[in-house]
Amino acid sequence: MPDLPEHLRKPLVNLLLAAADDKLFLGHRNSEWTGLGPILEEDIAFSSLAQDDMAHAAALYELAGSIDGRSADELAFGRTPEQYRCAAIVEVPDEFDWATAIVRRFFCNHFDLLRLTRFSQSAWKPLSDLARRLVAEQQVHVRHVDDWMVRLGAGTPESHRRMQKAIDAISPLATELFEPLDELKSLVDAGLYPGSDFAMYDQWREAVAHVLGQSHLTVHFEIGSPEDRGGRRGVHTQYLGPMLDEMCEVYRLEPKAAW
Amino acid sequence: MSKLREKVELISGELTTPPEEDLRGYVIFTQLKAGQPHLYAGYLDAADDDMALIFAREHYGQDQECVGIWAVPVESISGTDSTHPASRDVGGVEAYQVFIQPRRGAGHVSAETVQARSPAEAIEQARRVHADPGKYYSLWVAPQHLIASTGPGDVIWRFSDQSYRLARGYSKDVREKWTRFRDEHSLKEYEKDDLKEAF
Repeated sequence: MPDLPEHLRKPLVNLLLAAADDKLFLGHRNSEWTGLGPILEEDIAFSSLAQDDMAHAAALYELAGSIDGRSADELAFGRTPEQYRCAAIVEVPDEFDWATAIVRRFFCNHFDLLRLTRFSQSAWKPLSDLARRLVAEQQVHVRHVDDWMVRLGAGTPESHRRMQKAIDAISPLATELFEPLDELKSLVDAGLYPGSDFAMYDQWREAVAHVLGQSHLTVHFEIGSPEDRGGRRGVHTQYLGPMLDEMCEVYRLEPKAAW
Repeated sequence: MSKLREKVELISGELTTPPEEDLRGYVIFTQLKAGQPHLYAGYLDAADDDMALIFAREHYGQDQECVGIWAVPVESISGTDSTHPASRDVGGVEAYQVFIQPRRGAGHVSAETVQARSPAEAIEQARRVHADPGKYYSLWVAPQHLIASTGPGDVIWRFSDQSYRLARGYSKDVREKWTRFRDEHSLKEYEKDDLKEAF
């Protein structure tokens, strides 16, 4: 990419990979529900949205690859675990607990909407053009998951209890979505990733709190210290390796094959 | 297939809340291009209009490019066929959406709206509009205010390339890959033979 200064390429690829990796593994986790959704219609909807996540990941990998010359497949499947930049929240299994699956999606979908919105305001046109399309689709995801949050949170005493339990279990991982990436400041200063993580965190909390209020659910967030190293710097949970092995089974048979 | 799924146990009797029979049926119509009629797409069950539209968007809305969706509660439909008997109870005048089934076995297609005081009266009016013999096989009417609809700017069909979701996209992609694979394979065989001959 000729219009992208040399020193910004690596940090931008890093940022795009973080976004794509989040989408890839969230999509994969959600696709595990295919055939097991609570009712047939939701099974289809949830699988369809998981496919969307995969499509978003593919588009972001392609864009990252256009900067550093790797193919989308190589980026998605050809890295070692410590080279992935996803947050722990998309790695952990949901144990096929519907409340956990919905709560995880809820935190991630709202985060993704804000991140994609920042992408859509990027000074780098290929990114802003792509992100504008993805933002519109992401809004569909947010609408779907918000509907379930309210329905179950404000539903029966049992559904409420299960949702609150899932929130208590997942919310400590949710704030890790905000773990700072290396050299992010240079991208912000250059207008490639406008806005700030602090402002984004406030917006996210506000959006999440609004829906939780309607759902009669509560959450208490704690932010880790900036020195904590997690997914954004390649330190992952024990779940990423096995998941990657499974996802890459076919790719690794013949990495150069054109799928 | 995910290995995790092999370990999923079938849970029975875990829910303490008694199942509520709160889902109702909807007939879904999709509009492929702005200004065109809505075409019958299929049925689904949902708890309410919002959920019906969400489900319809992800299911019938992804079969092909489409710009609008209607979710019509099954019980709000009256028709000339015996499956949807028309009530003669007279109320205030309201708008009814008419759907025409052009021939036996075909899906219903949205047509005009009529003003009527009861479903039966709406059907009578629709019959008069489409009086030409052989013009339709059956008619449906539904009070317009009961039809849930997506808004003009709503995203249904996706912007990002998802041709793999479609049968035609899938067959095209797979054909290309097979051709590439076979070409590569035959090239390798050729090279092997070539080497044999050379040495």
